[in-house]
Amino acid sequence: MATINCFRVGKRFGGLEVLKDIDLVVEEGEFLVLVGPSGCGKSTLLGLIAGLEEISSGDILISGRSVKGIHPSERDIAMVFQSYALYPSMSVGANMAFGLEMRKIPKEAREHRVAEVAKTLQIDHLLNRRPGQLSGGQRQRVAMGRALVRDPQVFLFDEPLSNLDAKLRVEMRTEIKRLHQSLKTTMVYVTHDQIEALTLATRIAVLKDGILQQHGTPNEIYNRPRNRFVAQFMGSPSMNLIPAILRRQDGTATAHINRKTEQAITLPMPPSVGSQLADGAAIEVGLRPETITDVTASEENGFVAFECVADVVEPAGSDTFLITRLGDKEIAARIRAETQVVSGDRVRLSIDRTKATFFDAGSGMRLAAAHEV
Amino acid sequence: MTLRRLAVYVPLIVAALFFLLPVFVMLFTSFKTLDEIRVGDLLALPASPTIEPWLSAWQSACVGLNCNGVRGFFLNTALMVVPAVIIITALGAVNGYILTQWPFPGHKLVFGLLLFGCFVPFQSVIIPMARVLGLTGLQNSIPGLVLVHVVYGIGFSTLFFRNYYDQFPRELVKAAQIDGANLFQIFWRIVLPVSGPIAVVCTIFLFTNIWNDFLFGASFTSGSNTPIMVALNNIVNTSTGVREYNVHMATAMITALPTLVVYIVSGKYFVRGLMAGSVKG
Repeated sequence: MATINCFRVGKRFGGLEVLKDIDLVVEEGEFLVLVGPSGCGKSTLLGLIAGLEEISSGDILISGRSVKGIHPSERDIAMVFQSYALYPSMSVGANMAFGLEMRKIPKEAREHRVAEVAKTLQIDHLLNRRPGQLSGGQRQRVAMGRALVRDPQVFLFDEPLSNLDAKLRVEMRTEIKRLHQSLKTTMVYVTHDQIEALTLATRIAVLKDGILQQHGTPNEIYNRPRNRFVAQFMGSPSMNLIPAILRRQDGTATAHINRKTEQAITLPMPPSVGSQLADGAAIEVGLRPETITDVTASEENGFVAFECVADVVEPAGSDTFLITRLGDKEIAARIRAETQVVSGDRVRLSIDRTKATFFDAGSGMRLAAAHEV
Repeated sequence: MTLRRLAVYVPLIVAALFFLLPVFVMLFTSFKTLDEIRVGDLLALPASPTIEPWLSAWQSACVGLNCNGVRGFFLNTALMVVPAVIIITALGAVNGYILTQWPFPGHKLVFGLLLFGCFVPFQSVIIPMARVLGLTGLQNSIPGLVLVHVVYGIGFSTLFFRNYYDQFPRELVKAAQIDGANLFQIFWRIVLPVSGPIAVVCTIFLFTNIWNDFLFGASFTSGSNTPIMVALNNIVNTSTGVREYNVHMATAMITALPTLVVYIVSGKYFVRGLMAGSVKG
């Protein structure tokens, strides 16, 4: 078990700066997910922790020891790669034992350890096969097994599930989570899939263009995104951002969403939110699809209702997503599956105002309530 | 459909016959007696087949003043080709591995220069090479020829292996690094075991080229140290005595046989190796 400390970590490839001053702390036993769009530098950061890439500036400590200049094999880490990276000429057993063999662990101990891990991963019947004879899911298990036999301080995962089909991905996701719960080893996991990030992580770091956008628990990231990017990147369908005007009157604050043909919507705001902004400032209201829904009249307390025309109706089984327009923006609402709506219908929707987030239209930063600052 | 097949196969068969005809003539002639050659039809099958010309070519034909057949020269060539091919292939594999998996500053230039070496005409290096062989004391020797072929072959083998290893997943090397394998262990345990196809391609290509070399053999060796290609020339181009066409043909067949055998035995790997990497999966 180990902690990882990144201090102002930077990485340049020639003139290209792919990571800028990343400060991150991974506590013992934590499951950190690095998430972001392609090219955000998440895999590079993982490579720096693994020692596969050389750090350009800053420092990384694993268990309090600087790993600068320390070879990947001496960092007490194990890594699972996107392509699984199984040695094609070796049997599954030899693949798993290779790391131990290189560390000069006696043959008997190696075999014992491999058998033990193979059993927990249910691949003990595959030990004599070649990687080429395995299915994608089996290869994935072998790749994890190879990491597990070493019993390292830190596990690193580089998009390990992205080559699997949808069903298998969900199964393996659960399995990785279960693995973390039983091992309680520090894990760092790279993905571009925000659902994987939210389901697996104890903490998430969102990166964009080599800059750390936010580092927090899945709950914080989802409910209190630091900026517009994090808000829209996490969650599916992504958060609706609707342009609005901040109105301040007699110590109350409201967000006014103007609509072309319909009546404007007035959304009460906690007065302390965005206290630095004056009356009339341009803001954006962030509403996740599940906060715009159809509620019965008796439940409307705490909601702000409005009427709109359904543009597209997308049933998703458990819920139905309804695409409509609000304040000149296309928005997605999540309504009950039982509600019968067809495209073109006029529907009454309600906004859960307690769940609304507000962003400064200029900087894109979330307007925090006074007690958060 | 059948018409289209005909359009494909007829030209192919004609072309195959065109190339096979001289081989048939050689083969038939090598089993005929001299008398039959003198009176007979070039394309006729041997009336009374004899292996006498083959035996003569192997053990008693005269190369210059030495009448022991080509067996000694055959051995010379084998002693030249086998070490040369092994050394070149091994060096090419190491070069290709380093150039693709452990690129160092200037690796592109190094590869470019090696590639350039492939295109240097043989004739232009004869005199400098003769000087080098003289200085190193390797003139008129089989090791000298091995050296010359190694120098010439490295460019090709590096090209082959570099292109093959270029498709080799980088993540495998990274995984092996984390597992604690060093540069040499990664090569030996992980990269080399999957290099079979390209090694076969490289071997066939070099084996054929070096076995068939005449220029370097004729330039740098003489007497009993020449490779079989030079000996063949010396037998066929002799200006004294009776021209024993049957023996000449038998000698030519013996000379060509090893490359033919290598190609037939590993031909399917050759094609497979050339295709490797061009198609994913």
